[in-house]
Amino acid sequence: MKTVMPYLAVLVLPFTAIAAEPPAAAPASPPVTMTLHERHGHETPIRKGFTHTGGGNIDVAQPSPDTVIITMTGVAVAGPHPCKESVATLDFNLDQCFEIVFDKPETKKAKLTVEARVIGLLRSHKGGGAAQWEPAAVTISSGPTELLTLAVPSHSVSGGDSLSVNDHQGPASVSVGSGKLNLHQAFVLTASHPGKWHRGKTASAEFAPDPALDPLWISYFEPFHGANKKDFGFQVTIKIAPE
Amino acid sequence: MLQFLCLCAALPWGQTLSAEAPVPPPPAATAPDRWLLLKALQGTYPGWILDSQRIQVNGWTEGSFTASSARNEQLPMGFNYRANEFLLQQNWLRIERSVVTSGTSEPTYGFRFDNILPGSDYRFTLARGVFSEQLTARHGQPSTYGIDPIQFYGEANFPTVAQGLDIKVGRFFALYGVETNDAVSNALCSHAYTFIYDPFTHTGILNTLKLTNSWTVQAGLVIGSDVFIDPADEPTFVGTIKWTRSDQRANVLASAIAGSGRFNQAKAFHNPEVLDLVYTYKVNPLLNYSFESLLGYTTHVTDLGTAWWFGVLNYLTYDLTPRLSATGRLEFFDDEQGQRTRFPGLYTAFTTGLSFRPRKSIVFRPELRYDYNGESRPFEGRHGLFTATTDVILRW
Repeated sequence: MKTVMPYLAVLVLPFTAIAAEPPAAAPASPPVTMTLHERHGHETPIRKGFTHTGGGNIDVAQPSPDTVIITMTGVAVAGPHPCKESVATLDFNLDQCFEIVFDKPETKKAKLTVEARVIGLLRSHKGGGAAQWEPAAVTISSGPTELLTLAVPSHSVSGGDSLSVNDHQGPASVSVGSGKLNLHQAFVLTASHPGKWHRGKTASAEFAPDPALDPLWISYFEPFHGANKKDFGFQVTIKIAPE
Repeated sequence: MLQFLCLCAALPWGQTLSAEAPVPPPPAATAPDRWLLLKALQGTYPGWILDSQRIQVNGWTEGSFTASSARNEQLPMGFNYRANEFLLQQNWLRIERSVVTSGTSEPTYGFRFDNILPGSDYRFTLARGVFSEQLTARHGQPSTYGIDPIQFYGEANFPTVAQGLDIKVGRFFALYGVETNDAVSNALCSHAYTFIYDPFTHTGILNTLKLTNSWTVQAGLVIGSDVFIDPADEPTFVGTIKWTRSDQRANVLASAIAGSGRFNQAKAFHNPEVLDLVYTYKVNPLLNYSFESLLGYTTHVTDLGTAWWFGVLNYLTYDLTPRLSATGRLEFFDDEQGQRTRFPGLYTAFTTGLSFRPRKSIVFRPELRYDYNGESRPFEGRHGLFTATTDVILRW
């Protein structure tokens, strides 16, 4: 027994050391936080003719109690159908209710900051076709009162033009008190092509990371080979901080 | 102390079990290469229809020039047979719907249609009964250029039968040998006698059964060698058995064509019996060796009785760079009675050449070749033939 004890002690000691480690300090909670409540997020694809849509995600993330990030991603492609016009549309709509909570009673007002960015690709072919997004917009309201609206202006391409987009709007801020607020966010992607099947290739609005867009749906000789697509989409970041 | 040792022994055992590596996923099926035609169609309505149906349309154009010690023709050295002249050897159109052999348990169906349209190679590959009147179109002689629907078959694949059962019905390439009919699958522009003077295609039904990762067998019933629907048809068996080493570095392919083996004197048609053995070995990632030996015979040949021929073929290929490889080929082909080449004797042919691929879709293949038959004078009255050939293949 005497001979075994030292070895047991060696084996057990590291475990006691682990057990004695102080717990990691929890991050301090911000004085103002946002709590997410009910949400209605819809994406409606509309396809007619020779079309392809992909993605269609509405992602609502809260990486920290004072930050909410909403991302809409999708792809719309339309090509020359032999008989009819082709139109592909992705229509994103999100209504998100959230509550501003003051953790300390001395806090009376907070600053709500909103910024938005759109990253993606618009392609058209000289044989016809167009691609665009409608204004990508976010509105914060308190009941019927609109507090803040932020919109990224739309872009469109046609006639063989293509466009790589990295647009940013904001930050815009508004002073708010505690209580419930509503967020409405909208984004519409459209690709269209007239019915001339003997000429032209697809037009596309690509605002989603791979593999939302099947590469066989766009020209092999497309102008954006090798583009980094991981941040594609319409993203809104909302932050709250004491004023 | 004993307990301590037991504990020490047990600990790694437990860790090994808990840290067991996850089973790797099966390899994904490799997407077929896309060539110029499909690239141009990508993003169009016709291109989408083809892609959605797994249909590939592609092809290539092969042109060659052979500088030769002969004046007019190098025959019996076939294919690039015109001396000091440009030849459009293959203008090849391939339309295929591939079967799916991995990643599914459902049967899949496909087809392939290969066509030489036109090219000078048709003269050698044409089967009797398919546009074979081209072989006598020029005052009883073959036209220089012609067409040949060299391969067309329907295919079904049943992945759950053993490790995969594939059935083809139609006209398909002969199963044996190192060389093949489509130029893009060969290392050199010119061909070996062993390839030129044996069957190119068969028409009938062919079953390919993958028994294990190492063993594959093929068995087919066809209507003769190099013959389509024709009075000269007769039932013939074709079959192979293939073994592949577990590390994929070596394989052996044994093949047979077994029919009556009797020359059809009434129809003047040749029904050869062939036994063939191919051994390929990947010496290292850059160096490949292939060996082929072939024995063929036909009985009841007019004025000859039984005609025999033998071929032994050695290929050595070294990849100098990813775009450039060098190949050496040494062949011995013994046409004992001269029934195959019209000149009896042992042909010895040495060829050395390069394959240079400046772009993925363009291949240049210059080569030097010397042929010798000491018993006969097959090359315009000479024993030997020296040729310098280059071809270019443009894939589209």
